[in-house]
Amino acid sequence: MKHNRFSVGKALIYLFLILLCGSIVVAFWHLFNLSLSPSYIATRGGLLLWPKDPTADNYARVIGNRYIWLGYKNTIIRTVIGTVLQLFFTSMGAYVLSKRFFPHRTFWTLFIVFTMFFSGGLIPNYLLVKGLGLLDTYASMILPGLISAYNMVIIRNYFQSLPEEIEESCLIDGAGRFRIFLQIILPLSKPILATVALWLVVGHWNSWFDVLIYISDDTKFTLQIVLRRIILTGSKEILDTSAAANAAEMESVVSSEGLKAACIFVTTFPILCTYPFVQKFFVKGIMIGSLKG
Amino acid sequence: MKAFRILALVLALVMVLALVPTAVAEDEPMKISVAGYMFGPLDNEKDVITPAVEKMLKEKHGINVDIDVVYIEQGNYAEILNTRLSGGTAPDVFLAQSTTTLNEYLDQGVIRTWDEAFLQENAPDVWNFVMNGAAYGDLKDDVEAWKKAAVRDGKMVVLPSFKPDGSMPYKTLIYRGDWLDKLGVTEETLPKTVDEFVGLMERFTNEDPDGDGEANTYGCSITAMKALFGSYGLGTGFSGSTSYWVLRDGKVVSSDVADDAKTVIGILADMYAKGLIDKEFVAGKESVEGSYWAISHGMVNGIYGVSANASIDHYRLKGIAGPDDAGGRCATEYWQVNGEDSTFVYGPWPAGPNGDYGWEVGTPVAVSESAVYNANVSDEKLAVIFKILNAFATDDELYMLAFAGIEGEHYTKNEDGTITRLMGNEDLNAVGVWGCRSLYGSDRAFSELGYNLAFYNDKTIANRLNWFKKDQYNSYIQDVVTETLPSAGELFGEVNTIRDEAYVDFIRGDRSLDTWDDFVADWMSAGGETLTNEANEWYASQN
Repeated sequence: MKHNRFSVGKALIYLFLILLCGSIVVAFWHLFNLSLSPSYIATRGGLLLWPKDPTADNYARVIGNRYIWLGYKNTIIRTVIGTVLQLFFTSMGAYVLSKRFFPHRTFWTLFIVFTMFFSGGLIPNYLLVKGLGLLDTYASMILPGLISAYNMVIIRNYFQSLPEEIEESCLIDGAGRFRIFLQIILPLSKPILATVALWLVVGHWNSWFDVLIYISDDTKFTLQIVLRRIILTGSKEILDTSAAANAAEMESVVSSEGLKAACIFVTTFPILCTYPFVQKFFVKGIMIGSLKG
Repeated sequence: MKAFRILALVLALVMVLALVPTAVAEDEPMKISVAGYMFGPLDNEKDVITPAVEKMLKEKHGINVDIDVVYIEQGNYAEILNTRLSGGTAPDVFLAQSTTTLNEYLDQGVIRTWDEAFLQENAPDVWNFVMNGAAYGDLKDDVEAWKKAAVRDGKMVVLPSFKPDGSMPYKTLIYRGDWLDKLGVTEETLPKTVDEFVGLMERFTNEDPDGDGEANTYGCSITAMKALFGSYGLGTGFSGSTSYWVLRDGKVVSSDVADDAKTVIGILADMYAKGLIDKEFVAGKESVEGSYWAISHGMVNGIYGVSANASIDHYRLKGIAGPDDAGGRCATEYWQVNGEDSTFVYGPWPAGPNGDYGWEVGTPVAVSESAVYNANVSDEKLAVIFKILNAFATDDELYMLAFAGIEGEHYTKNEDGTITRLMGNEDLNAVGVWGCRSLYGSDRAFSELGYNLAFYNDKTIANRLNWFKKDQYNSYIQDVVTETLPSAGELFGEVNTIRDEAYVDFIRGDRSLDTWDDFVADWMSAGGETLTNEANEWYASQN
């Protein structure tokens, strides 16, 4: 039971981790209290350790906002479909590139990696998406990022670490390449797939810029766009344009800090909740149980 | 020959057929897409206003249009618009946003121009309103400024909006009332000169105005310090912004490096040495991150006696905007911290030796919320757009419909001529209110009603205007250069940083004022010289 014994080094590590967690938790706790505060307390600034005069008004307003629910729907659609498709196509590409006997493998790998460092830029991308007739469709949020070079390289490396003997035995048993990929390789690669899937989910959940550029139909706006609008409405950046014009109008435009906090909570809570469930895959060792039976 | 005849017949038939769709098209509404200033997207299912506006335009004014309201998020307006401009999907009418973006659009040929006569012909009432602003008192003198802002190389590009309060200083000196009472200073005896101002700062610091027996008070905050630049005819951007250009001996000089700036910095350094200025004035107890920007926490919480971080409207007294008015945003904060009976006093700007005083003021016209027209808008379409513009300026019923919605449902009229909106801005946008906004040509119609609703009936603005009409509450400080200089974006960041660092060092006494010329040399070589040359070239081209 040596590992249970107290040591100074361990205590320091725990202390450091507790402080690190604390620094993150405090921010969330402050935001949570802010979301429960009426506007006159929220504008004052400063750290809120306990809610003063708690009120559910902010949450009522956020939940009453039609665009929040539309946003939820659209975000869930793009996240689920986007993640599944991206994972499938990226891993297929990675599988091919992981094979040593694939002709010109290095060339094709570099060809794909090249896009990691050089991209067409905003306007050419917009013209492409427009030319493909994807403007105002869910496809415009999913197809342009269908293959991510970085994720593909990560998955490819993982595939390369799997022993080739498994595949050879499958081939002898009469399985085709596609069956091997679906029934052997993918199940064996759960840890890496889960990791990449989490990145993709978070990426889809948080992304807003593509929606801003490609979507003008308000019923297809995602959650982050709605959130952004509520938050930005209160920022000085926007107010300054009319600052000298009409102070009264300006004040009415501002969303209260409490409302912003409530919005942030409503929109980020689901994604925060998925972390603990996927986390176990991060720590799982490679190849667990791969050759059993 | 027969074949030739048949061919001729076929050709004639084709020509006749070609005419048919044109004849039909005349009955079809003309499509006009518009992306104005909106708080949220239009909800096509709930939109009742746009169809009603289209109907009224058709029935009362004989203008048959199909208005497509396009929502572009304000936070990334330019970015989204630029991609759409390059993709050819930009709307017909969009916002100029600023003089800089307007000039860029013009240089790139993405917006169109027109002759003055074209506007006069298609929107005669708009033209008359602009040229005869006499009915609106303050607007009369601003016609020249309007023309200057609207025209580039003899062609019109935009319809600027008048800002009757644009030539008023936005911010105001706000003194703590309890401190003034303690020291026996009344509104009449508030400092009106630089010496009196410095004198009061000394008393704020040394005579324990908060009465707690401790030396924990200071004269003024960093924003109030900036008022002294106004006393010497300068508009400073000290601490993060760009300064105004001023005239000195016929040359355009930046307020940063004008000789008077040295004098002001000398006064401030002297005040700092005497302890009248908070040692942490740079870090600031003015705007605090995360709380409303105009609140001066140092002033509200009794560290400074005076601040100039907010407008009179932020410190609006109760009941000015109406019976339910609880006061301005900073005023309510002030009362919460200092008690319901606590007071604050609006102060006059201290005058300098030449009688100058004030705070930077803007121009009496603005283009930020004005419309510009896509380069691919045809003359025919532009004529229709201008006819709509004219309809908004002459038909108050139409304007109220587009601007405020349906009475009783979206707004109610008050006795004093103002309106009370019955929904939030985003909900109003969803049902179509403000959707046609940019079709007014600017953020309000060019009509008496348009300006009354936006300005003169608004009691909070009337309140500000009344204060700013008083001597020494108004201002003399104007920017000589009213356009963005070519190298502004590239160079101002660096020169502003050099100025801020040097000013702070001078004031804190870390650097001797004898080295002022070295600072000016640094400022010049970091890009100030280029900017100064550009400013002088621009000024010469205008006069």
